[in-house]
Amino acid sequence: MSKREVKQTKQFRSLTVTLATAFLALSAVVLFIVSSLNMYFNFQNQRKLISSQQNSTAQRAASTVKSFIQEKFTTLETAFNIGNLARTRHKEQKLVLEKLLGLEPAFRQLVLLGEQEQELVKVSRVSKIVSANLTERVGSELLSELSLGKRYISPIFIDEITSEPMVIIGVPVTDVFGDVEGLVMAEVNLKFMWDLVDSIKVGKKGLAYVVDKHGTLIAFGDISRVLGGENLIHLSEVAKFVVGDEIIHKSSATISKGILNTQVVSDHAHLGMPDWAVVVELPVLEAYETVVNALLLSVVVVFFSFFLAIVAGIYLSKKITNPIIKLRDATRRIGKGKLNTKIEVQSKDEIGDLAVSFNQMIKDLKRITVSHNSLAKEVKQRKLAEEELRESEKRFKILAEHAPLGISILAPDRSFEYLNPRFTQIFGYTIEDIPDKDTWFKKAYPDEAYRKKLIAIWNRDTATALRTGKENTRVFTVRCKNGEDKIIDFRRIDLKYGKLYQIYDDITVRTKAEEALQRAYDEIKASEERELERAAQLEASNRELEAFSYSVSHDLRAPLRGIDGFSQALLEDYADQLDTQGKDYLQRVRAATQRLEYIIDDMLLLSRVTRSEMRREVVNLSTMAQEIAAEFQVSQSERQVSFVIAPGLVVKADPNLIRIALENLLDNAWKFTSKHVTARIEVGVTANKGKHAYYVRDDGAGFDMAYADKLFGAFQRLHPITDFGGTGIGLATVQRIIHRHGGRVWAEGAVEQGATFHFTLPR
Amino acid sequence: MENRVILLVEDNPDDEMLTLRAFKKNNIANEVIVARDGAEALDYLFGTGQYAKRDLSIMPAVILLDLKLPKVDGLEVLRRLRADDRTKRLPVVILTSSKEEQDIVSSYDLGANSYIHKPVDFDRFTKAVGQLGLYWLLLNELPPKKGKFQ
Repeated sequence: MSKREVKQTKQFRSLTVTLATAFLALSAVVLFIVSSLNMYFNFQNQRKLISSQQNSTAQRAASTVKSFIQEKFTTLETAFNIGNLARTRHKEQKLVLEKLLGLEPAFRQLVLLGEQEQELVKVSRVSKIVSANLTERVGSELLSELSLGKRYISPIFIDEITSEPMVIIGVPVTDVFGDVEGLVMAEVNLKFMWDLVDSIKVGKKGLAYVVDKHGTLIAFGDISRVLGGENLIHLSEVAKFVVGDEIIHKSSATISKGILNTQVVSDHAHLGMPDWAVVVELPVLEAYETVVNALLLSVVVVFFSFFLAIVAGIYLSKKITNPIIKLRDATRRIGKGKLNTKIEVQSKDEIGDLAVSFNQMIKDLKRITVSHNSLAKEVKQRKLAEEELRESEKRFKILAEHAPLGISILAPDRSFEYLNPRFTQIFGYTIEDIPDKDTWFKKAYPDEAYRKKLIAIWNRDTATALRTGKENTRVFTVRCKNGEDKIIDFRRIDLKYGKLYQIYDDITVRTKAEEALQRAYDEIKASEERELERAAQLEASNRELEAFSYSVSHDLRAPLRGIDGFSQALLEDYADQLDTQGKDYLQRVRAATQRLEYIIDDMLLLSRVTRSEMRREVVNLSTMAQEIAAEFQVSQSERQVSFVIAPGLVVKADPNLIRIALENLLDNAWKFTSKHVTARIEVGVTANKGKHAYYVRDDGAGFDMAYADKLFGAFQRLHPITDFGGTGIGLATVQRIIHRHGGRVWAEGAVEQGATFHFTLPR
Repeated sequence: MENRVILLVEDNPDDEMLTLRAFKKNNIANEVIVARDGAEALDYLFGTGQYAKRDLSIMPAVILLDLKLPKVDGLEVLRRLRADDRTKRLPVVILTSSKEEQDIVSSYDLGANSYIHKPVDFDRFTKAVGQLGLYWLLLNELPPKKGKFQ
């Protein structure tokens, strides 16, 4: 099983994670929707609630402030309307006003005006200088209003001295019939309203302030801002009031920037009379505290639910995927060949079913792949074998292509499947020339009789080969493409698969060489036989020669001795009966017999030289020549002959034979210099082409080179016997000795200029 | 000494005559018994054939033996002599025309006491015979007679 199948191709993502993630996502969506909806409605409700709360707070505050003003109006109206104050005496009027001033600390100055708007009484808490003329300040507008019986309130003004916001209120003074008799104006210090405003509770951290119709801050906890106469029209809540969109503002508790530059939820309430408004502000956080709390709670709940969802998701997905993981691990183990794996899944659901089927499958697989390993091994081996086969095929192809023998492969359908290059080289035929066996037979064996004979032999060989499995090699003569006949050694290899492999060895050259060799051998044999015959003849003639020599030495010598002996006896015993001539004849007889003896001796020596055994030894020719020369010097001490013998002439030869040769040569030289008073005989060596030629040179009689070839013949003489003695066998003996050593001997010379005899001796 | 005989084994009458002449010239007066072939020489030495009645106590002072002889040749005669106790110590001088090395070697191998080549020159022949007579007849001390021929 290859690793590839086990390996994950894509990025692996656990099913557990997927399931858990899906579960989580789902629960997250649900939770989100639920909590969002919840939050939305909660928020809407809260907002309505806040709006109404704010509204009511504002209304409450407005009524408080309103009642403060109303209270001042009422105080004025009550004080003057109970008695006909305008008609009372000045003194009394002043008393009332003073009482009023004492009663109400907010009043700074009270003025009572008559019917003609003439100032009747005026009481003030401050000095006359400081207190301005209220009438001037209020103007005619007030008076017309008041004359209509209405209450009057002036716009707010800031006192130049105290910088306190002040307002002037005025009420008409009427008689019992309701006719206006005069009016009372009071300068109200709004300072006294501040504490009131400051004490208005708006939530925990909320605040309230009062603005007039121009947006000017009238009352606020922070007095400095009021004293500064700050205009708050830039605040949206104040702006609403100034513009006057009462309808819109009622419905909403909007979030906007507050007086303290913080985000607030604000609302205002119009006082109506005076034309002021109370603004209440509640910090957003406080206003929406419950919403935020609800939100926080929701978040906690959501997170808790989420956590629960995670736990539940993991648990559930684990529960689902565990058996799957078990299955997966089992398949991996199986993949690795562990077929003893059993999947332990006990559940009764589809996965349990799957596990059961899986176990069954493993069992089946086990049964099927029992021989898996051996099969794989076999496949591997077969693969190797195939490779080897291919390699071997390649090898044999190369061998066949380069073989020095012709090779052909004959298919079962009698067509040639393959001819190697050597085949074509031998015969000249390509596979196109001889597509099949029959064409081959016709071309290779054009003689029909020969072909028939050959086919008969072929068929017989095939039958024999099929029966015994043995293949014969046959030699046939094949006609080549170029018409040449070649002698071929055929070797057939019948394979069982019906293909016939045949090997052709061109033995034409070899056969011809063998034939030539055989002929040569026969000739040699014949000549050897002749040689043997000749040797036998030679042996016979040698034997004859031996017998001849033997008889010569005995039989020929004996009569000679008789001739000599009895000639001597005649000379001794019958000397007195012989005349001088008779004695001379007998002397000649004796001389002749002696010469004949020498001849016989030399002939015997010659034959002995031919017949004797040879043994090669190291011989010092120089020493040998010295010895021989010394003998000559002793035997004829009167002669003046100088021997010049090169030292160190060492040869390998039979010592006896070479001594005879050297003796003969030196004897020759000695003899042929005998006619000269002084003579010089040299023994030395010359080297020609690495070959040593020894020589014996004299300065004697010499010879005519025209007869040089006759020198070495037996009994050949170039000088009269009377001039130089000798039997004429000496040089023949020398030649025979040198020849027996495998050497060569030749002579150079000229008449009366000496002679040189050269000889070589192979090493 | 004078009565000691010399046995000359020689088939050639010329050589026999010349040998006797050489003895005479060298003043050797011993009786010379001549055997014409090897067989006769053996008959004489072992008292057989025509010499059957011969007194075997008389043995030649020296035997001059030619090699090339009719019937039984010289070397065979020598071998038989040396094989017999009675004759094995008799001095034998090979007197022959042969100068063949092989003959010389064989002769000494078979116990010849001397080997003399008969020269063709009679003067040298006479000299050679004289020398051998002097040596073998006069100077050479023979082994004691008794005990040898019992």
